[in-house]
Amino acid sequence: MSYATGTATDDSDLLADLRTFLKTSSGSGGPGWSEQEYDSGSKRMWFTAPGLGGSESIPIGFDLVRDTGADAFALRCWMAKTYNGALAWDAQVGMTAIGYHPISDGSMPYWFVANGQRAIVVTKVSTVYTASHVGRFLQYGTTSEYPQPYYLGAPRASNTRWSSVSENFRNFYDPGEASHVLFPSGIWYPVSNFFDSGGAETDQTTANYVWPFQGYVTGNYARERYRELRNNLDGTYPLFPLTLLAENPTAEPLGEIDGAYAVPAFSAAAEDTITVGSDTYLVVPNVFRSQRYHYAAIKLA
Amino acid sequence: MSITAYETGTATGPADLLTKLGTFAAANGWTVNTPASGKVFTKGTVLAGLFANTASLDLRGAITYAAGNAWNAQTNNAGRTTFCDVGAGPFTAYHFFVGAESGNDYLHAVVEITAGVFRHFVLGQLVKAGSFTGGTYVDSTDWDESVQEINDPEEDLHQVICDAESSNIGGRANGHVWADFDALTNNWARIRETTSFTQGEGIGSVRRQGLTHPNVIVGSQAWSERTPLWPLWYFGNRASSLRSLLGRIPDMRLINIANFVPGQTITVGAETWQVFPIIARPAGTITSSTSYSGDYGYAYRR
Repeated sequence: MSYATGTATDDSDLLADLRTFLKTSSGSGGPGWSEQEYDSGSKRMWFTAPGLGGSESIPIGFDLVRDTGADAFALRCWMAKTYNGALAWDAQVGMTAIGYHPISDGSMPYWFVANGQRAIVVTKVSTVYTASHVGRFLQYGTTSEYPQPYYLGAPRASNTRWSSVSENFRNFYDPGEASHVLFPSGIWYPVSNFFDSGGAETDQTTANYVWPFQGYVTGNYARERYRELRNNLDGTYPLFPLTLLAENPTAEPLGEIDGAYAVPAFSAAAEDTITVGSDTYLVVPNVFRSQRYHYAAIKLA
Repeated sequence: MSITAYETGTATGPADLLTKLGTFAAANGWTVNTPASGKVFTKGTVLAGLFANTASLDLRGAITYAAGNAWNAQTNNAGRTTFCDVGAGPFTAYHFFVGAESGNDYLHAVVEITAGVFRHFVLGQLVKAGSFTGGTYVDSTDWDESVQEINDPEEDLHQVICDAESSNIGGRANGHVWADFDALTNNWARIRETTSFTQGEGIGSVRRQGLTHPNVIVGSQAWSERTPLWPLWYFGNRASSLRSLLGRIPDMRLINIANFVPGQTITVGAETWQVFPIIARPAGTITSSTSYSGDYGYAYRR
């Protein structure tokens, strides 16, 4: 695993830094993804990630979208089941919908974390922390049983200003409107914990979801149990695996997100780091939300 | 390394069961004391008194051994006894598991009281979340067998190990964990459901009100039929209606048992686990007088 942190001067600089990071070889401290195409005009790029064993080809793409009139800018991300350079960039086989990660066109800190099978992008604009996930998660079972356990965890489904306070605007670990998982059947399905109803955070009751932030399919108990949690008795923090549980079209456990955990951020704040064993984790809130039960811990090393 | 030994056999009743457990534990590194009554099992910081009652195996945690005292009057004991309602016997089978996960000693027992109907009791040291004084857990299943309750897996009159549903109605909800916190010393956290939030007590993670309820209810993967194992977490009640994770039971998990037969061993990577229903998951019609605990099961490391 590798990570990079810095401050981008603007949206284009952010994407340039991300591109450089993802292409950096593992021997030089990067994840060593292969760039399959890059359009210098639109700055659109397709990568394939090699997997942890180096034998996979996980298609992942990024570009930028800018709406200066609405003052709305986004890093866009998407995935596919395969990449074929003979096909148009947006006509790849098994391609997801496009996900939007709202950013600004000004200076912004970022954290990129990636390995051979997935990347997590965190950006900060003002006090808004936005986080996306692209790539493979840790499936329950073997690769032969579930060869493409892919999760596109995107915060928005359309270009929206970073300052939105919609309850649909949610990070990948407690998703809203724009996250999808590739089922063992080879079909992408939405993943959503909550949706916005009149400005209120409203439980999804029949959707695929990420536990422990949600679990309403069996009632509100599990979600409430998680929201009651604080840090450990000695002040350290428990980390709970972000578990993809399916409900629609089938009820089944899929797997766990790699490199990120739910953490009750009692007496913690955004950008704190916590240490568990020899690993360091970045504490990240869910966009604009600051309650202790809306945080994730992103593994940095 | 985790499990040290496993034994299965039959027992004629609670007294015979306790005798055989004592022999098994002593042969595997535990000290089995004979105080004024019952037995007291100790290893490291783990200490629990056990007593063979007429129709139950009774357990109570404590902190320091007192040879002159009864099994349930040991020094700084939990103040409550958790009952494992095994009945008078004879029992179809028992399964004993002894070991240590990451140095956390445990002694776990499954009793098949009649064919296909099970009870469980456990004692040991939690795999702690962080550092604190304590960590001993003593817990058991205690099932209400009255008509209309016996077949309801979510009934709060029942008690299961690491329970998040059991209430104090009916004299159950007696599992306990030693955890000193918030100026409480020699504190035995009673494990029970959520509505009676008392600082110093605690809650488990199993059944409807538990944190892992959706995980186990979702079952297995549709394509591979893989069924994950879920941790058995205890939480301690803090101020302001908040809770802290205390730890998990070593070498024991929660599992959806729908795809398995009682006592089946399953392989997960390099590990072998043996699975049992919490009480029973009979085939055929479930009536109002059938022992039935739904798809809930426990998995024990072999």
